[in-house]
Amino acid sequence: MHALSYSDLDAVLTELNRAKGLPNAHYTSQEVYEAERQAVLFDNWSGVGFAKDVPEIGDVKPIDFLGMPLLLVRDKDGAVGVFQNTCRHRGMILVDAPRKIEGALRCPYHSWCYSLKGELKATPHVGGPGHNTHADIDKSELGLVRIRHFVWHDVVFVNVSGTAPAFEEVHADLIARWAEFEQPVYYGGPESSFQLEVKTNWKLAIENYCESYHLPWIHPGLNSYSRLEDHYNIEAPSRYSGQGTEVYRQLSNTDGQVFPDFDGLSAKWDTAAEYVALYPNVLLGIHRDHFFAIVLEPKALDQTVEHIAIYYAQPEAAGPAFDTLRNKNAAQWKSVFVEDIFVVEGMQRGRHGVLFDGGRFSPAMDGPTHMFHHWVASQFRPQQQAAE
Amino acid sequence: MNEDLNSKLLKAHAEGDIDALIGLYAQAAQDAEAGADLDAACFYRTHAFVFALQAGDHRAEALQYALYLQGRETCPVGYDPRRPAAKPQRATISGDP
Repeated sequence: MHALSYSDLDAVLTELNRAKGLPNAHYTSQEVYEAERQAVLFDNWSGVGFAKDVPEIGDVKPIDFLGMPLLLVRDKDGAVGVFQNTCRHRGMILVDAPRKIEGALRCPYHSWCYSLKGELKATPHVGGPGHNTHADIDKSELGLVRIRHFVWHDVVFVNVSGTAPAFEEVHADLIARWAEFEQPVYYGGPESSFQLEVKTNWKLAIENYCESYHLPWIHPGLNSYSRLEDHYNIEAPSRYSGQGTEVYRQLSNTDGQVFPDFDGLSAKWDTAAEYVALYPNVLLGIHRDHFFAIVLEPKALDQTVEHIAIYYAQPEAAGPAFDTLRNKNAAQWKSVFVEDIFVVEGMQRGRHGVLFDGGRFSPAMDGPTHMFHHWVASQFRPQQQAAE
Repeated sequence: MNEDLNSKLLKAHAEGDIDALIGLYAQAAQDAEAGADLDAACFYRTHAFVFALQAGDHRAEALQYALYLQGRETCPVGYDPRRPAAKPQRATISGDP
């Protein structure tokens, strides 16, 4: 089924100091890309969007997740739901653009109607013109296919296969690590959300984000106040990895205005911030006064859209009094993420070097990145997973 | 269906006027019933019902119940024909009243 020999992955599934990176095929082979679609993204909890994308009751938004048509909804009770965006009748796409549903979701083909909780409410003429019932059509069996989902810090995660353990079980470690931040977050508004289209395989954006090794060269603006030695590795095998800083400085306006903090944080977070890649495809950054999430959307083997959203600790920080500071913060983060584009695009191009062997990892600096490679490789090696 | 009603329906379809479609199809159903054409009445009433369902219109339940009485639909859950239909209050989660 896979275009890989297991010997290629053996070189990844070994200790950091001697490991090689994933083979080129994981960045250049359409066959492997499609295998990863199932083994890495559909079988695990993958980020597909944000709850803020459906802010009001009745809002629906279609999402194309690697060709799988999904529908993000806000139902009449205010709960977020995710369904397959496919009518149960003849497979028609139900919604092709974000909109508000006032009542029922009506299929544009034969007008089968669904509630926003996925229940099939009407099957007009199914038994013939003017006959809306038939003995062999049980509406209770033909509701929209609900996709397992979990919303954490406003990020919408889905497990398409339905086989992963519960999100809270899989990510218990990070939830516990960031327990102090289990508080509401407040979306900063349109100026706090942006997308970057990058000509790279989505995994390269993860790999770059994980490590601080590149910071002095790619983000020189940090050198004056956040040196390499002020950063530490974060490693949770099979779950997440990334980096932390011990010298986070709050952004301020010229008049000294800063964002308000999350409630009740311990002193550690006065000057700490952490940046974590939550496997497989979500990047998170947490600080005393704000939080951001990046959902990586694979569009093709070598194309990714980075969906970035910034949230704040207190509701007033999302209000007009902080407009200038929010804009400054969004612009600052955008400039940092834009600085990474040429390296992730460069790695994608470099992976077409047929003599490249997957590369090596700095034993001191690349642990978080290798950890992600190891996890991806393990998704193709169930027997290896069982042994871990 | 008479030509005037048909023209109005086509206009409402072209303009996407759901509220008008509900009323016009309901009228078409009543006209068909007056002409003792039950199948046509249920056909048009189905369209009125579907558009009312789509719009979250308070007329949906009564239309569905009428089709149920004619053996063409399931009974709307919890519907009491003796209780007049009320326009539902629109709820939001944004905190707006």
